[in-house]
Parts: sequence; C-alpha cells; structure tokens
Amino acid sequence: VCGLCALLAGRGGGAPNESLFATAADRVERDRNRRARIGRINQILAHYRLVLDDRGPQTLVLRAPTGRSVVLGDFSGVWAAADQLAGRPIDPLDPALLAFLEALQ
Amino acid sequence: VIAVHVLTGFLGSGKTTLLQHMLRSKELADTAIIVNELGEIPIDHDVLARLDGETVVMAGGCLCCAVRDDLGQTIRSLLERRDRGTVPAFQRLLIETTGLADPVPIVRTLLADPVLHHHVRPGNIIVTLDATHGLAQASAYPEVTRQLLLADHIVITKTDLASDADQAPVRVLAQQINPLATIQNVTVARAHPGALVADRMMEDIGRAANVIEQASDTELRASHTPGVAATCLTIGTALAWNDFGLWLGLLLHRHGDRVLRTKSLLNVGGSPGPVLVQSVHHAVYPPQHLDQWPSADRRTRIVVIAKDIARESIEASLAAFCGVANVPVRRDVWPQAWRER
Repeated sequence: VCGLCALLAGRGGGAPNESLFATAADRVERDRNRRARIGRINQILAHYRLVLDDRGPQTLVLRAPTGRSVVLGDFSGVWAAADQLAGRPIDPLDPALLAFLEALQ
Repeated sequence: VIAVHVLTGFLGSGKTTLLQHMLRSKELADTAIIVNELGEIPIDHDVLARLDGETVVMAGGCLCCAVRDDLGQTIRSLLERRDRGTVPAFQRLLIETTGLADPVPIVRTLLADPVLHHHVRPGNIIVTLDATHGLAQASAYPEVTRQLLLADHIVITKTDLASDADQAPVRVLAQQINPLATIQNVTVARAHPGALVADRMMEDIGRAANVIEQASDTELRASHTPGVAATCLTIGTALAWNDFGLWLGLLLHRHGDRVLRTKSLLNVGGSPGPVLVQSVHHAVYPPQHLDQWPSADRRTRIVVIAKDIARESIEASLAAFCGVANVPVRRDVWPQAWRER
C-alpha cells in the first residue's frame, strides 16, 4: 500500500509494518513522495495563508498566521484541520483557489 | 483479501430470489452470506438456512444504522471461525440488506475498520429493480434511486411478468440514473451470478465514457434524480499520482455528500499500467495498480456522478489541481438507451 493509497482510503499513511520491510530505496522513494505531497499541499494552503510543516515521519504541524497551530500524526486530518484554522472550508471548486493555483503553473 | 459484495433492492424486488439463485451457482459455492433482517422474525433466514453457505442473521434493526457496528464484528467472527475450521472455507462474502438500506455505511465500515481492511475489501453493489413496479417505486421512494445511483450491477427482476414494452422504460431509467452500472435485464433464473461478483471496473468506465461521448447536449436530464448528472473527463497526458490523489481526496472531503460516485482509470506518470480508483461519497476504495494496459488506448478517464455540481466546475478544478489545461471534457451524460426510446 503506497502512502497516497492509504491516504485516499482514510488511513493516513503506509501500512503499519511498511518500515520493517522497506528497503533503503523504498524509504528514499517514500520520503521523496512525502516531500512532494507536502509541497503540493502547501501550494494549496498558501491561498488560505496556512503552512504545513514536516516535523518527522509521524508529525505534521499545520500553522496559521495568527499563531494557532495543529499537530497531526498523518495526512488524513490535514483538510479538516485546515478548514478550522482558515475559518472557512478549503474548497477545490472555489474559482478563487483555482485561479491562484493556475497562476502558480 | 476477500471481496464483500452487497445485495440490495427495494422491498419485494426479488433480492432473496436472486440470492437463492446465486447460491445455487457453482461459481459462488464458496460464498458466505450475511443477512440483515428488519424485525424480530428473520423470515428470510429460514429460507437461506436450507442453502449451502454461512448465514448470519443480524436481527433488530437496519444494517445502515442500528447494527452497523455489528457488521465489522460479524465479519471478524466469520473470518475467525473460518480460520479455526468451524465453518467451511469461503472466498467471498455477500451481504443481503433490507429493502430500504443504504449501502454506503456498509462500504464505509469495511474501509474504516482498522482490522477488517487487511482481510476484506468492498466488492460490488448489486441492486435489484422490479420490472413491473420499478418506475413507480423510483418515483415514490428516494431510497430506490439512491440504491440505483450507487450500484455496480443492476438486475432487473420479474421480467417474465412484464411485456417488452413495459420493461424498456425500466431499463432506460436504470441506465439513465447510473451509466456506470452493468444492467442485467433477465429473469432471475437466468441471471449470471459470476458476472455479478466479477470486478469489471475497467469495462464499466469504458462503457460509461462511450455513453457519455455519444450523448447529445439536448437530451433530457433524469426526472427521477433532479440535479444529478454524470460527467466523463478524458485526458490524453499522464497525471501525477500525488496531484490526482490530493484533488480527489479534497473534493470528497469538501463535497463527498454531493459527489455520489466516481470511477477513474488513470494514466499515472511512471506507472507501467493504469491505476483504478473508485469512490462512493466520502469513501475511497483501495486503488488498484495494474501491471499493464489492456489496449493501446492509454487515456485517463474519470467518470463522476454528482448532484448539483456543474460539469464545468469539476473540469476546472481538475485542470487547476493536476495542471492539465484544456481538459477535453465530454458532455453531461444522457445514455444511448434514452435516445433510442
């Protein structure tokens, strides 16, 4: 189960034993994917002035410009936490967000 | 990991008759059955008890709410008994629900249970639709259209009791409501049990995409499901898996109440074969990474059935999130069968 598959399935990360059996190459690939995912999420969150920090394999910190922050164990709760910190829902159909993302491309 | 299929359909639409037929099939001989009965007297259990297969009656409520927690426990118990050898080995599970049941909480229970998802996966949602009363029931009961919208297979039953002229609109209705579903329009005794439990997601997407591409803009929308429309997005370039996953995850997080069903065949950069992803409301099934493409056509196809979301919004959102400008989206769906009527 890749990290994104697990994320889509609402389980937040890889399989529990993944790290026991993963090869060094697997870990490098997984870390690369994790960084890419965080980078992409931060592009989306920038529209709401939020930042997601990577603080280790099982720690993510979502920060708002007000100083408020939320600590998350995995990716599964990122959008719900972002809704709260932004004070409005992160809406992938919002034309303003779409225009913001397209301007980045 | 074994598949858990759900058999549902309105009251009196022939679920149990179809179940009995399925259980007589050699193809489904190694199937364990879970029956959900509404009320204290599990009448259907007496019928099913005479059949081969494991029957667990969950009495005292509707599967979707009162006993939903019991579902995980029941499946875990079945798996343990199978492993101990106290029930015959089975390769799949089939849940027969009450006539008014919503299949979504069943799927969500299977996906959310931290133990179960290592052992079982959601299979097909099979829905029976009465050829004689299906139209009237769909008009009168939103539960019927909802079951049809969520179906992978629709079996039109009692076709021996309805003329061809009477059956045609029922079939049109079924396809119109859900172009992603395979429709069997036969008497139950001639239904194909193996097909009902087969994984044909790739074929479903291809058929729905063809239906959508061939439809004209002027065709009428389904009066039974106001605001509901199916859309197919076809993309010729490879998508980034991270981008698509984040888009779908966020779309369902925010709009999963209105995005009823999605099935996607994805050309993902760096992957030798397609990735298949499907969702029911907020629940995403485990994606399937295939080893190779079945044909030279390697376009991504994303079919979305949604309520009160404009096709253009979905198109623009995918384009912005995945960096695929000018997605050549086809029209809203109005099936071939509707045009032929």
